[in-house]
Amino acid sequence: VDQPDQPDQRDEPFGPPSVQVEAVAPAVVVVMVAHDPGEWFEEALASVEGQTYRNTSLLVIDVASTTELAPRVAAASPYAHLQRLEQNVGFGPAANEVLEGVQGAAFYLFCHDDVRLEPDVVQVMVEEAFRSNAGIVGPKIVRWDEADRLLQVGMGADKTGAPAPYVERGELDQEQHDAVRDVFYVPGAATLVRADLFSALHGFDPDIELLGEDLDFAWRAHVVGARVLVAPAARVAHLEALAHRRPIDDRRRLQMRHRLRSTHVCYRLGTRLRVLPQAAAVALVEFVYGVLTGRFRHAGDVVAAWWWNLRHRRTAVARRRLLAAERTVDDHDVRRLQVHGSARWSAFLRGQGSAPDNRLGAMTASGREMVTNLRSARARSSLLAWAAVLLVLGFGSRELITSGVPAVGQFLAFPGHPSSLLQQWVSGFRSVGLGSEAPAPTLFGVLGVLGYLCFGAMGFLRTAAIVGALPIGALGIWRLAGPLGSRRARITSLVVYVCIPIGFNAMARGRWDGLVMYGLVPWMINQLARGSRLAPFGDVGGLRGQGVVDRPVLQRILLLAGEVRGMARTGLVAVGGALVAMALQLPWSLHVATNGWRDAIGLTTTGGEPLALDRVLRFATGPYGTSALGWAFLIAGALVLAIGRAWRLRWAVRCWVVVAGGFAAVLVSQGLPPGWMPAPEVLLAPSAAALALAAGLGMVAFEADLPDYHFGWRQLASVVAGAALIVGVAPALAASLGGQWGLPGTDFDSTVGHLGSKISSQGPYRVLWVGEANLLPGSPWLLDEPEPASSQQQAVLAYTMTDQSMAQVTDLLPGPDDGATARVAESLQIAARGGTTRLGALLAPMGIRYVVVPTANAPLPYDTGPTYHPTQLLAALQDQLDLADVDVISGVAVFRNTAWGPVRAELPADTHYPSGGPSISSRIVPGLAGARPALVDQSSYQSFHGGLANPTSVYLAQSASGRWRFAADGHAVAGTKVLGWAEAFDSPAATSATLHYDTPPTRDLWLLGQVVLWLAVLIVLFRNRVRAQGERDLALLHLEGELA
Amino acid sequence: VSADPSSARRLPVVAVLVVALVAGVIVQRHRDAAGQPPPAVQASDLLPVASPAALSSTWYCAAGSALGHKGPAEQTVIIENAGEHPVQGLVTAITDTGAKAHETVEVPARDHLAVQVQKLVTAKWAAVVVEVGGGEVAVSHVLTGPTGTAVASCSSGPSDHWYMPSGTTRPGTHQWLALFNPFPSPAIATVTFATSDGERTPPPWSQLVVPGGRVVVLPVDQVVTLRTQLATTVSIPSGRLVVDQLQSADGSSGTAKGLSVTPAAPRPTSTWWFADGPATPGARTSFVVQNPGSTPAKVSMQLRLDRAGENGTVSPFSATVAPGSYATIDVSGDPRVPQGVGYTAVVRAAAGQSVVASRVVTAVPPAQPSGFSVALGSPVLGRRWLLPVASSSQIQKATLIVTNPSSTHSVEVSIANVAGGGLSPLQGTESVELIPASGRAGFTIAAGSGAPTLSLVVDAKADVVVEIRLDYPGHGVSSALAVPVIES
Repeated sequence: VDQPDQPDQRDEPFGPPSVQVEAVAPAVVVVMVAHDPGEWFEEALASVEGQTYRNTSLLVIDVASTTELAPRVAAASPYAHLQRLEQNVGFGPAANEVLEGVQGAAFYLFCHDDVRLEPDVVQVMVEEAFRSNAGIVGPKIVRWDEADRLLQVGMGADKTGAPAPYVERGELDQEQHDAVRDVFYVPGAATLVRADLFSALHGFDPDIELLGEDLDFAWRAHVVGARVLVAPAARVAHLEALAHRRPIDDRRRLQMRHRLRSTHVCYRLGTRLRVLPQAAAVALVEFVYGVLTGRFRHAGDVVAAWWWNLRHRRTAVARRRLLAAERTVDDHDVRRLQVHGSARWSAFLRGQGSAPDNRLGAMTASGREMVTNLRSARARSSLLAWAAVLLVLGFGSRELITSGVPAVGQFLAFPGHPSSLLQQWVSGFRSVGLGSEAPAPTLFGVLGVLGYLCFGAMGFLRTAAIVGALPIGALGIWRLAGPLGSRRARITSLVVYVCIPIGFNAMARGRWDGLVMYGLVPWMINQLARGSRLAPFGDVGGLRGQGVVDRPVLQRILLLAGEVRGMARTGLVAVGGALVAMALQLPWSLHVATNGWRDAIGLTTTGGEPLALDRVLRFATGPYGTSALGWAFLIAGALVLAIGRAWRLRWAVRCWVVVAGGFAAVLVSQGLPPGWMPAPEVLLAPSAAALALAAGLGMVAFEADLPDYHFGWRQLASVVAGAALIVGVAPALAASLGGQWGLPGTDFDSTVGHLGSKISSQGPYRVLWVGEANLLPGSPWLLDEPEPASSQQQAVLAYTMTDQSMAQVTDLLPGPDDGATARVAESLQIAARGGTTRLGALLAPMGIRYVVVPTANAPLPYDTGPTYHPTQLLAALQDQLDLADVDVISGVAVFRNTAWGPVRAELPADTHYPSGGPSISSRIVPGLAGARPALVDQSSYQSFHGGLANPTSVYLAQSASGRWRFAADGHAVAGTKVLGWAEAFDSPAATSATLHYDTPPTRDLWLLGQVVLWLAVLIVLFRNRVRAQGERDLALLHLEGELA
Repeated sequence: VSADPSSARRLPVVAVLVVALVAGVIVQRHRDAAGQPPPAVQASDLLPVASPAALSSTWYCAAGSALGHKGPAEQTVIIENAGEHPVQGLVTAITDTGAKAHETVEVPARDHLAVQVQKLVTAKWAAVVVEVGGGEVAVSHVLTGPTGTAVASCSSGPSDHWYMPSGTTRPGTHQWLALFNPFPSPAIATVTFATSDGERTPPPWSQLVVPGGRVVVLPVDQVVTLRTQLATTVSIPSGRLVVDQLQSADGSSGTAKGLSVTPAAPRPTSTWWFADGPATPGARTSFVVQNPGSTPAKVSMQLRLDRAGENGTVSPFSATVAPGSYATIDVSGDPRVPQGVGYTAVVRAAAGQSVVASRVVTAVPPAQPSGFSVALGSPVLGRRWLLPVASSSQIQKATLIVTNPSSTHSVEVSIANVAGGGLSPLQGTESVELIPASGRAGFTIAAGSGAPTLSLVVDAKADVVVEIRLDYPGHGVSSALAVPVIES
């Protein structure tokens, strides 16, 4: 190694002969580590050559460059010293060469090969080192080609070493960061280090070959009591050309593992025991996030970082011992120099989840944009808007979050364990009603998997699935409005969509379908809009001329609604999406397609209150939106029709077509028989999203189009629309005060859920729920009588059944009726017509022990929705000689069936089962009342076993099927279809017996195919996402260039 | 900006949206105007009804004793099956102590069956539930006591309100209310009496608990004493009951000895038809109109005299009935009604108002036959009526009255006895035409007319009202409304 000359011995300094004071200046050796530098290298060398600090020498360490650098160094800086390493050991180990090869230097200025020093950099940094007694001094680092744009001015770090930049990348340098200050570390692009300190710390960690050596060294410097400063007066331009020379994932992995290495080395034992678990927790979150978002390499880097440190634990111990010998500062004092909290978590919350730090890793474009703009007024307004939205949603949901969501309407309880959902999903038998052979919805499987991912916290999953729909919808509309290009428009759309009461009303009415639709519709519309590729959601039509052609109105509307090409693409996206969704739902979707779509939409009503036009227009499907302020958003959304131009107007028309279509659909559905159309909230959710987008378009038009108009009514309309936008928020704020969006504070679980708890030993039973459809749990079936037939769906009678207690989510989306469940309706209708006073006896073969008639959505006085008293139904039930009133809290009428029999009953062996014909007597099973329950132990879903006391006939009150397998003492016994729908098995002796439903192999094949399809789709989506993410990262790096 | 290229597109779009909005408003107004039809009142809500297509039917006979000959109103249940198929039935007697007894019966097709309750249970009071597996079945009960014999149809359904316009607790009389709860759960009832002094609810009978599966008989005359006329309302806020009114008079204090059982009316309505307006010499007939509503009810009663061509017409009676009160229209004392001329009557309440109307006939000796009867009018019309009565051997004279309510059309009717598996047309009644306006016919069915028991079916080509008047020698008189066969 060539020895750099002492300054006073140099006969050819970089500049003219120094004055006397320079002769005593401490020697500074600029150590430039180079590896395959680009064309910038000469400029970098020249900048060192041009330093005004006279006692400077240059040492270039060529780290195994493909092409030797000697000619280039000699040409650019003939007095520089060059040392070549034949292996690429990395920056830190290469820089450590000065420990052995350089003598007499007072300072080392370690530099990358892509930096350009201002002439006074060394001078300023050395002066500051002396002035502040600093061990390490860093410069202000700016962009190579934009010297007024900051990259770093020192760096902070949290307890785990995660970087926390003091400035934002690309921030305009207005001397706002020009104060000298202590920092935790300085980026390695140019670092002035006192030579004795470097020697005392044994240089850079040799195991950190690249990336992270700057943090590690500065951290150890703090431990030995050295100050680390940044002297912004020293300006260094940094090209950050590492991106051109190393793969991105390699750098991220190195950064992660070296950060963890520093944590291992620099902390004492007690601190490590405290910090490392926290780091592990952050890593776990990052890993899960990476997996869930398809960033598998990122997740792998997280794991690799810990694995690498585990393998290098011995060298870490050695380094720690070396440091301990020099330690003068306690961890507690070092910690004061670090930022509080988790820098990575903060970065994640700011949208930098994919950006491990500011220098390295894959910072997403969106995250970078957000970070860049965080300090701008526009960004602050977005943050404020989101904070307000989340505050309102959180405040309005506080009771639901803290106390749980009551089981109202479709908000059914989840099973206690996710395995129950998966068992029902894989089974070919649905237990809803009296049972049927039908595929279970994929929803059960998805919820089951999610339940496991939530570690079995099904209550949490349920609350999240319900309450989370509101912010998901808000996020969706935020994304949808993104291409509008106006932050204010985006905020407008966000606020309007959140405040349109359709989501709140869906919540208040217990409509999960409406809530899910509210959450998903903006995302769906977003896909459709982008699928159209029409400006601003694409590049089609953005610059098209505005020629007006005289066409019929209808044709004009179609044209205004979108160019044909755009519409075709949108239709293609819609149809394709629907087909893919149906394929993913197979075989359930096949069943829906062949059995009508009632299973998919359920039976919905407006709870006895007609939805008049004025309520529809205000989205007042429930308790919210009925005030005069409910009209406000319509006014705000109409502004764009008045002032919009170009694509604003075209998209506004499309939006209003959707809005009007939703309104029309609801009005039409009011006149259709119940069960033909989905719930009003489902129909209106697209209208709400479209109206919100229209309001955002109005804001864009306000910004872009209004200035072109002369002052007139349009300006006045804008003021009115703005005012409407403001006042329209008030009802939403008021709605949030209750804390549970109009849901009752309790449900019927405490009343009905424990009806038979004291006598559960008498065997399994069912509960028959009858009443207004909107007040019943789950997805009830239509009951034509006894209430007056209505052609409208304002209030209709319906019925459903639950097993022993309250309904569960598995009672949603019922399967088809194999002819059994309808018998319940027939029995009710017979009673309603006065055809029997022994309804209990008719219901007994169905295992129905209780008949529950809710007249409100919750026990009084906690009810919140409209009440409905089915007078004739109640009268018919009260007329029954074998139904006894059960005294319960108001809001529900409960009748106990005194003639009930267990769902699985032991009957005498010679029991003669009636035919199940139309007469009353042929529907009643003799001896069923009070019969001994059979097969009382349940092994799994639809699998039972138990002992039989006598030779008996086991009666099964389930829909008959050829796949029920009964075995007595291990011998299979064939079943007999009785009553026209149920099944019975003859057991010849007192013995143990088993009964289970044998799911057909075709169902297993279907499920296997479904799983494969899901995995395939997920893999494709993840791969696309990863690919897109990588492309964005590379593009970003290409633009900015990241270099350690 | 004058050259806004978008304005040409904007106008039609806005116009279409406005048109759509206006269309929506129009549709909404049309829908509002149409409104929801009011719920239909079913005949079974008004009175006992036999449903022809019912898979089964249940009848409740609330009042009656089961002590044998010592009982005040020994009860016999008559089950008439007018259908073409035999029906299985279950007769359950339920006593005032909660005891129960069952008897399975089979009623052959087009036949009838009598069940003496005392053969099932022995109790001071015993109600009966008759469950039969088919429609076109009617059940009545015959009560026989020391003071007389009475017949009335049983109730075909329970209710949460019961109304009895006419009753008396004057000296020489007894009145009971039989509150029958055939259901497993207890019911709570409040009994309110409207007297000349206003409404009154005896404290023990306010929120009175009627246990499930029990009949509770209230001695009205012991609590509300010495009232010539009182109207009764039974409200059941919890549960449902069946209520019969039982009255007897021993002939003292100027009363007419006899026994009367009247099923209460489950709800008020606007029109009440009375087929029979007896022309018995010496008998006094009055109509009592009860207004259970909360506003005064204006009612009018129109009498149609027999042979209107000869006897002329009677101008309508009118009265205003205070809410919660009653009004008595004494026909016999009115000079507009000629003596000895029979008639039919219809009581109508003003539009939107509902009342309950009954007829009281009192014949004090020396009038013959003597006795008294209390009968509700019929709130419905029908083409087929069933009339299970009793052993005809106890009846001195039975008069079946069929009234044609139409003012314009005549009606052809036929009457047959249901017995022995067939319909035996009564002699001379195979086909009788009832002329409009004053179309009322009384068919006298003497004892021993060919059947040991009397169980009738009346078929008409149009709507009619059917009632029977029974003379029991030495046991007073009785009037009973037939049971219409109406699809419920």
